[in-house]
Amino acid sequence: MLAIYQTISALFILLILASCAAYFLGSKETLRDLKSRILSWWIILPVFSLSLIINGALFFILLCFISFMGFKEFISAIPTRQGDRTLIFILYLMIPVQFYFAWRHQAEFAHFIFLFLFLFIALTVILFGETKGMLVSVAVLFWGFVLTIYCFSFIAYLNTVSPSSLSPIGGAALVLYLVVLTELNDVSQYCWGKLLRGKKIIPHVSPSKTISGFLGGVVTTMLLSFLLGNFLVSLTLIQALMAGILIAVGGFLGDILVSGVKRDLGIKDFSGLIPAHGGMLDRIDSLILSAPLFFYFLKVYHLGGQ
Amino acid sequence: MRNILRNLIFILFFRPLIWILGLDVKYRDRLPLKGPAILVANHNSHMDTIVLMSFYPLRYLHQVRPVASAEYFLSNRYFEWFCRHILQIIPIQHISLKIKYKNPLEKVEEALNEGSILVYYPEGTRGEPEQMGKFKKGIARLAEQYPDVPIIPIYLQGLGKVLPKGRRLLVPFNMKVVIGEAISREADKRDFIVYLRDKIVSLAKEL
Repeated sequence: MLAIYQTISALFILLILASCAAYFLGSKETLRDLKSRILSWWIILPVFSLSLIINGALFFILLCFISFMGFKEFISAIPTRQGDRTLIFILYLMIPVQFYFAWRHQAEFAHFIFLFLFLFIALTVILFGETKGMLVSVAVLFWGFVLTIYCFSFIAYLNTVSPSSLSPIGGAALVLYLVVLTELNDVSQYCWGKLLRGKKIIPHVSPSKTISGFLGGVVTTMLLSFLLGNFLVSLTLIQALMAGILIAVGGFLGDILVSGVKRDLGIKDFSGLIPAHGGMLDRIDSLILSAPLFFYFLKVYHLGGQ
Repeated sequence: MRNILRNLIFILFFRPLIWILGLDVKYRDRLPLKGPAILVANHNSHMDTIVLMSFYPLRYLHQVRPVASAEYFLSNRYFEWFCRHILQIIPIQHISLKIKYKNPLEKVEEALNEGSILVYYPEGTRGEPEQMGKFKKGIARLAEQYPDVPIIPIYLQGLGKVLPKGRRLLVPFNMKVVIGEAISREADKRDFIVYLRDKIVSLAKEL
């Protein structure tokens, strides 16, 4: 557990340094976005780290809540039909069910969505809704559930992994490792992008992402992965570097994925929940792909004796 | 006593509910804290009134009074008590009933004279989900009678998805509110209504 406390302390020190840097850089208009971003981190970091340390149940509730907010933002942004309201309500209730399966490492964790929910959504729409526009409705609702809840429930799975040779401390360390690397990858991509500028990597989706930012992020994340890989968890050098690349690329692709959805819907942010960051989905977008990728990476190395 | 009960209901129930549902407000500072004033909004849901009232700090809450149709809100005893004493609605008869000897807006005028902040829905009814209906003339009459009372146009979006007319199941959706600047009024009754409606429609573009 000591390594977890030390890592979280290091994050707080990093945040204090960032706050000081932003403070001493002055009060230019261009820094206002940066400052409110840092201010938002002062809420996110304590809430996340406290619930991770204090109690498993608390962390479970936090995960459900985050997914709830994300799913709600998705549902609010897409055009929905009146007749699907009851189904949407039931889908909200399915969030804790999905997380419970993931939490308890039940096989239903994957099957629940792809068999039960897949058929359930379609049948409910057909039986109680209208058939006109049914295919679109079913597809979009299902897609939203996978995007904002299924992908995110991998974190719940990781949190309850028992200690193993890969992770002597257990699941909480793996979650911390994944979340810290993903979020710092986000931050470093943002910083490198602002510092180096240069050519845009995918201009038709995201106008602010540059090639130099992406590469800077990957290198930074690999470095951090190397630093934490032997400390928070016990990965070999090669494993740590591979995990770093995987998380950095996964984080980037998740970001792009959600940006693409926003482009299609014609919105800039999903909501104004977190000042300067946007909505919950805008914040967790990079975890959407990095979490399952990291999960399968660990599976390859026989995590938890499975 | 009722004020305390109202404050408790808003703190313990309505505000957490609205927080969970999710609400984005634009230009919140345009909301007048002191009456008399008239908040004019499009109407799609019972949530409209709850959301607009929840913007007010508790010490100002007692002066906010929604104007609502008497036939609907005073139909059930418990609901009536809640509407009258907690929401403090001002019941009005529909002008279409043509009670000639009585001014349908009499109570509304009384409230304005007392310095209340009215919540007024010119559509008169919640209507089709997420669609804005025609505006009725009552608001133009009030505007003419009280030229010094500020009228604040407000656009509400998504509330009709949370709780549409005729439904009981509350489904979480993000709600968005844009508050406009207090408007200056024109003399002609019909023009004023068109003008007001255009104002609210144009607020929708600021989302």
